[in-house]
Amino acid sequence: MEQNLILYTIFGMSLITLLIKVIPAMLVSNYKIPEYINKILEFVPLAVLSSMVVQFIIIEDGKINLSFTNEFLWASVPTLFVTIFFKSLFITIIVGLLSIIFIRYFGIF
Amino acid sequence: MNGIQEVGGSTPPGSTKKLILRFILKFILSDKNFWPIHILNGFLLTLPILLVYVAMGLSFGFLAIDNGISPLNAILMSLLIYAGTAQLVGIQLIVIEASVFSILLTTFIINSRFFVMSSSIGRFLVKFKFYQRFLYACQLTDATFAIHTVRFSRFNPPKLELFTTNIFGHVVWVISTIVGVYLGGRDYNFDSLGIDFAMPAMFIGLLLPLVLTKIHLFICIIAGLLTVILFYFGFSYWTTLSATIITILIGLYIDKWNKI
Repeated sequence: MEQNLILYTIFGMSLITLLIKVIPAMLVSNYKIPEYINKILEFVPLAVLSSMVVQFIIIEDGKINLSFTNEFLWASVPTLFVTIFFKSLFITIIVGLLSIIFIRYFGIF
Repeated sequence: MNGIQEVGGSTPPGSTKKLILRFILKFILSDKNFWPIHILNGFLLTLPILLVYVAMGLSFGFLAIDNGISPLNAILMSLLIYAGTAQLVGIQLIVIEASVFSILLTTFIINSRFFVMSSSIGRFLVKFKFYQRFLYACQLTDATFAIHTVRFSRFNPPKLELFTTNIFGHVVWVISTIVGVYLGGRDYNFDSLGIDFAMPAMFIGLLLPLVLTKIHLFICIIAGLLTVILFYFGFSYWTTLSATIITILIGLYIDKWNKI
């Protein structure tokens, strides 16, 4: 693709992203929210993040992979335990990176 | 005087450092009304995700250059779009010469999750002025969303703290893209550093603190199972949005049923 066309595509992409991010925040805060909407919004982060985590660790190269060849899946096991134990984002990320490096270099599986 | 002596007497030698540290920790991440603390809190909250931003920004810049996107365009992408997954998928689509329309549609589908996130965080922004709400929403990301949801659920975090995290994160994202662009075309293998696992690890670390009740845990499990099922049936980029919607419907039902 030509660089100019890429530039216009980027403008389009950013406009779409911006509208998606901005419109709900502007609308929601203008009126009082009923109870069940509050409940929905309470569930949203949990559902979105769980779905993304599962996609990241179970899908490899566009396919579901639950075998020992899926490094991400097995690296996420210690990461999960460390998160439950320490409840610190920083430690989680460090341990996550260390476990994936460990799995790759020492080739446990 | 007596009290001070008592405290001094009861503390073993060498623990003054501990006392100072405890004092600092008590002050930081509290809701004290003192503006430098707000800025400092903003930085501290961003610190863990910075690692991920640097890793992702570096590999994004590197990949963009590697796939023949001009340095200026790559940096503009990080500056204007500011959504990691959409940017990475965007590059792949540009490389295979996909049509502009299909690229825009994919961006819309991938980023549609921000629609729910924005409405979720929007309920906390009621006291914000119009332009503040706008600026805040512009810099909404998965990470800041999760961090701020935790903060908002505890108390009303100061605006200064919120905007510090947003702006700091964005600046780091752009700078690491620039560094990645600079490194682009050279022979580096980022995967050997495990950088590609930084994002999943971050999401795990962001998700778990949000799980507070049994229903929350249930929601997570349902969402995870649905994701696998829907992906298996070929929902690809639609998976996150559809899994979220179905999970919430189930969650509402369970919640109602639980009360009776």
